[in-house]
Amino acid sequence: VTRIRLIAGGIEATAELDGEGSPDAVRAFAAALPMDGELLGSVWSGNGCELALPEALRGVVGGGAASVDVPVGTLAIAASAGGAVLIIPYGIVKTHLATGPVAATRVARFVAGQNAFLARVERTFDEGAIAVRIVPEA
Amino acid sequence: MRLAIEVGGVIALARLHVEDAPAATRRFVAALPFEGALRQSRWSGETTYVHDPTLVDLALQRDSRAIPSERPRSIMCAGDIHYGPARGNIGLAYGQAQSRAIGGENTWGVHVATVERGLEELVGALRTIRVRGPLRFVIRADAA
Repeated sequence: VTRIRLIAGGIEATAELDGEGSPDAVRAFAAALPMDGELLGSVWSGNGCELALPEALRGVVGGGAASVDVPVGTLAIAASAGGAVLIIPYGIVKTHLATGPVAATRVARFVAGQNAFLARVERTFDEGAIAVRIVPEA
Repeated sequence: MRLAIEVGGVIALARLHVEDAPAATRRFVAALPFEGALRQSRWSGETTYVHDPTLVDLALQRDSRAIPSERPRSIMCAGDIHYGPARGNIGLAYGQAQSRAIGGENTWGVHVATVERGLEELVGALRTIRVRGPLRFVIRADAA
């Protein structure tokens, strides 16, 4: 798998897996696909949404080029109180938990449909959670 | 003095900390009845907030990183009513929360009141905001 498709609120986008920083994290993320869940607004990390990931993915967080800064256009895995989450920023994101900053590991970057997808994701702040599906691109 | 807080059909009652925070509670009460839309915080954890410029009072707190002189709090607990005079915020936590600025820097506010009745129902209503979106809320002086 080299690309993934994200579908949320009727909007689709494509992202390319980015294993340069942490091949292990990307491999573990790709192995967990397809995934369905709910995109919820971040509560500690700023202008982004989070999708709860299988707990096993917590073990790959922090590897490679991990950083608290997750730029718009990228997707990253971060630790959460309950395990791990996929972070999708639509603005400034600095990954935090209650205890303070935590590093996130980048796993993908958008290559198509980014603007429309992130505009829909941002509306979760005003409208609440939305369902999301992430699948390997055929 | 007590406050009645209405959120999403739930009414909770809170005791205002007049003795420990006379200036902040006076300023807070002057804004009542207060209506707004409670939103999920993006930086401060399990808390909701409303921002209203009319609540700004720089005499009580010159900026959000400054520690107020009355009942200062950065950590917020469910049932605390948190007033941030520097930015004009009211915070109502439903779980683990800490007042933080954009970027995650810790900030401060005044703990002006504590919910004493209806806490469980209030927390339940506040918890829905992250999932369903903002809720209208009203704080008024309790006539009883």
